[in-house]
Amino acid sequence: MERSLKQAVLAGVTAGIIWGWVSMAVNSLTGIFPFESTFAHNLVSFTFGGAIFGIVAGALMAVAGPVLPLRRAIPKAVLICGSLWVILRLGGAMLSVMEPHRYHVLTPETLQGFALALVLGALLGFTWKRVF
Amino acid sequence: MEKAVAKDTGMFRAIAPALVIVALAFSMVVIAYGMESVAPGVHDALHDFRHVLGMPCH
Repeated sequence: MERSLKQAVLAGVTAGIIWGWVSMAVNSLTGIFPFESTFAHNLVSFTFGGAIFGIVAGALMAVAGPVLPLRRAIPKAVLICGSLWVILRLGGAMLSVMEPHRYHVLTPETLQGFALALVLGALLGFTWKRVF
Repeated sequence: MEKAVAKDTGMFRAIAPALVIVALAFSMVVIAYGMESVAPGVHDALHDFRHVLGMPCH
């Protein structure tokens, strides 16, 4: 199901904002990272960050989606978001190697982050199919 | 001349969305790594978001 860039951005920003809130809720439940900022600050930062990640994932879905060997929107979006997270995480691992005193790797946060990236993919696939 | 200006405007309209997406992708990288040298304040502003996402931080 192909979409225009505008539709992709709308689907992405919707999925991303919801994902930001879901991420906050999931981390509150798991307690993997004890929040350091206030709820109001995090609500804004997770909404903003989620929107940016969602737009980029939506744009990638519009560009790379048609060439992926998958037919349904949700598996495609999950693959794209998972891959995007892995690429970012590999960059983070490189930074950690170069500046170990500055960038610390924590396995529980890594696992939670990867799971949340897959959740973003599921949400993007849903908004891709249903909302726009 | 009007044709040349119209052609340039059309080209800009075609390229602009792609440029915006590239800028947002760069913003995503800046957020993910908390690159203070690029955007002062981004590290603290999105610190919890970055940790929840599993990106390495202090």
